[in-house]
Amino acid sequence: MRFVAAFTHDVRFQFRHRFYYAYLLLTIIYILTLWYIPSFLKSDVLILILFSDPCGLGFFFVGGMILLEKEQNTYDALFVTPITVHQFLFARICSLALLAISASVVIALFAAGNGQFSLGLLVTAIALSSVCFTLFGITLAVRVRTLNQYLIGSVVYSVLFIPLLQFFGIISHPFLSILPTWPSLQLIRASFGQEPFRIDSLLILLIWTGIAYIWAYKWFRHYILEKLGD
Amino acid sequence: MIQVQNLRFTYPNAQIQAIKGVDFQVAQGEIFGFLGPSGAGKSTTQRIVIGLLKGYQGSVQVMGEEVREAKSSFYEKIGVSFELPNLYSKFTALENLRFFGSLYSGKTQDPLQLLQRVGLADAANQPVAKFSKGMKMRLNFCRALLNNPDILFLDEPTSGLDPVNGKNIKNIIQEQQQLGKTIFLTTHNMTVADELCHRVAFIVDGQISLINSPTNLKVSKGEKKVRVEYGKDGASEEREFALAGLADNQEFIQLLRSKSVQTIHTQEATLEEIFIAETGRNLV
Ligand SMILES: Nc1ncnc2c1ncn2[C@@H]1O[C@H](COP(=O)(O)OP(=O)(O)OP(=O)(O)O)[C@@H](O)[C@H]1O
Ligand SMILES: [Mg+2]
Repeated sequence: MRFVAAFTHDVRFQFRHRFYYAYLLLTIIYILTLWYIPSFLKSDVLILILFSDPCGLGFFFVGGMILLEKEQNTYDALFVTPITVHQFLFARICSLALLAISASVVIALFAAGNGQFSLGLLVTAIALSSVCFTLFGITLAVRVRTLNQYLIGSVVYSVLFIPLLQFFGIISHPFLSILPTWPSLQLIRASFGQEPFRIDSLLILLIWTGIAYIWAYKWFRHYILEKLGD
Repeated sequence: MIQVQNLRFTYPNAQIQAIKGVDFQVAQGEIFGFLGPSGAGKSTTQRIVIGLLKGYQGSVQVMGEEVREAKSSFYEKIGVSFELPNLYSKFTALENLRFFGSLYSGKTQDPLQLLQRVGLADAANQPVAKFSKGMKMRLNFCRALLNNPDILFLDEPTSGLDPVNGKNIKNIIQEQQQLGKTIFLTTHNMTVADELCHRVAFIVDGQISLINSPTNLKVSKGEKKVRVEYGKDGASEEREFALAGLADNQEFIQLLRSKSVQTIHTQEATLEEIFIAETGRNLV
């Protein structure tokens, strides 16, 4: 049960490095924000917060974890044991999805109340978004050494967030709907009944997650296991 | 246990090969030393042999398996310790060993016993962040032994250790060898290699220039001379005599009789001197 061992270890690692405290703090700030903003803004802000949680934080938390692991040099020791890169990646995406799902559900319960949203759909949307953006974060983190480089690199990935402009009604283009952030936003809104549930959103997000997984796997092997960077 | 034939490796974007056709075999129960200066290709070779770097040319078989195709079960049977500490610093020594131990399907060794063996029992519950470099190195070494491996790959196992701990690690390596384990040791340290290795390979610029046992090397390359140091009150002088026919060497006997002798030593070439003579390179 190497997956279970790796998953448990990831959760403990996140605790030790205070990721859970950071998440707790952010969740409290989000809840307070939602409490105090005018009610006509509330539903949009709620959607944005729930969206940024798995997509934005997932991306940066996995970056933080990988940079810490690189600094502590632990991959050398890890990958001379029978653990495979697949098991490692699964443990990593599951542990971070768990964090994102817990925070999102707590925020949704506080802000909207029980029964005001479809729990199953929200959890699906958050889980998939979290996994997808964690994997994108991995593709960047394996290539950089410092937080600075990570922040600079993340500018490239911000292209994926252009559909937010469509969400605000600033621009609109069919192409934007096939970027992964759009189906993610769409599914979150659907879970609150603001839009109908669309199967194509689910499919697009699944396809992106698949692409991100293959990409993360390849680059993880290349840059971490074979150390063929630079 | 290990068979390497015509191994070549080029890093992507590199102009020249890092490994330029290397051949060697390591038998079961042998302590094999891989010696060479910085940049010689020791780590690259080790990373290939342990199945991490796959894009090599030639053949590398470990326990009868081509490592290019090694499955995850391959790692049940080998233990690797690297030159730099690689542990989770917010976890204690014991937690680190328990985690790594939990990744093996086979039976693993008791982490506490391993810690005791390297003198870390008292620090078992301290976070690794508080460890000194030497303590981390000893913990690294424990980690390599966790799964009771058939082959141990050790990169500079005694670097950063004080003499007592260094001696202890060397004893454990010899114990492992007596249990039938095969040991592949990478080092700059000729003294360690000399004390431990049955055979050593000299590697420079991605090529092996010589493989032999340290004793053979010293016998065949060593100068057979005796150096006598004599004199009084700090004003010492020294002379050298050929070892052959020493008993009949009148000058030597005369010197023993007439002077106050301080030391007498046979002049063996050290492994380090032989390395420099053979490869024309220093070991740093
Ligand atoms: N990731 C890498 N990418 C490109 N070239 C590399 C890489 N790692 C090592 N090299 C080059 O390959 C050659 C062999 O390096 P290697 O690390 O195997 O040497 P070494 O014998 O282990 O040295 P040291 O004693 O310093 O550890 C060197 O010329 C080095 O610059
Ligand atoms: Mg090296």
